[in-house]
Amino acid sequence: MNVNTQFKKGVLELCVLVLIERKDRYGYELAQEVSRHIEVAEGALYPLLRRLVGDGYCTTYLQESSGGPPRKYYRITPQGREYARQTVGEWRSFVAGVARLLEEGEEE
Amino acid sequence: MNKEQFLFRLQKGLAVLPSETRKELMADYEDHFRSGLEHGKSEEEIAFELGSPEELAQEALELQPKTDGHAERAATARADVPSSGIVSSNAGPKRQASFSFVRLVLSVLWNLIAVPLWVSAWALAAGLAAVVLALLASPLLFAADFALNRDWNTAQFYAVLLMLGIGIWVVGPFLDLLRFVARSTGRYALWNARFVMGRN
Repeated sequence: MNVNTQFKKGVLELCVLVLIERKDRYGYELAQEVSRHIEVAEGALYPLLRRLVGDGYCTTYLQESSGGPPRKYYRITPQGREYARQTVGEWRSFVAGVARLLEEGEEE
Repeated sequence: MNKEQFLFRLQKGLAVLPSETRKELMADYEDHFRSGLEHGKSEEEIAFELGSPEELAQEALELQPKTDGHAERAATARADVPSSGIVSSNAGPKRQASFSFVRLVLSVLWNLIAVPLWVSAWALAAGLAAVVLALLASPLLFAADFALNRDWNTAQFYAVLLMLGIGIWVVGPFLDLLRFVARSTGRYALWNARFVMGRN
């Protein structure tokens, strides 16, 4: 597994947390939302979601869908909200740091 | 690759997981296909967007919740023997120790009782050590006494021989006992540390 996929896995967790923080979503919907913005193997979502549930960052419930079996929705927990807040903070400072580094390179 | 092929390959990759976990994950992917088809995608498109079933299976094994010891072992086993098509360069899942404040407090509480017991065990060992050393050193003391006072005491001489005999007789068992106490203390300390830091 190369660095790029490891990196994407970390980012995927962040994206999923932020998406379910905004509203409850089901798996396919999450995959679509993430794919709109970044290129990622959508299948990686499901093991990740299982782990988030296992860690207590979100819970699941079933809800009827129009003409079909019920869908599994993911809802964020207060713990998950806190974790998302931290992770977003880390991400922002990370991105800002990289941006500064790149700019310094251009000045030299 | 169509839905059936994708699910078949995924199922194979997830074989080492507990059946409950595997069924749940398989159901997630089946639901995903169903939603995708409802949105007008083909099975091939959906399978392509999901990614390689073997890589996904590997990821699923690594991302098991930390409490799931069975799957963690399974993932380790799998990381050792990558299935065909996967070159896994990553190490097994992280064995994270989980520090717990509650366990720390518990540990402190019973150590209030246990530590004095260990101290008395060592005090006893130190006392026995003094006795054994005195027994073994008695001929030296006797010789020193004789050298200084030039006063031969036959009864004392036999007493010293007897003490030396007893000393030689008990020194082996005493060393065994000392080793035992030392090892037990070490194990007890290690066990405590593991208890506080989590079983792993």
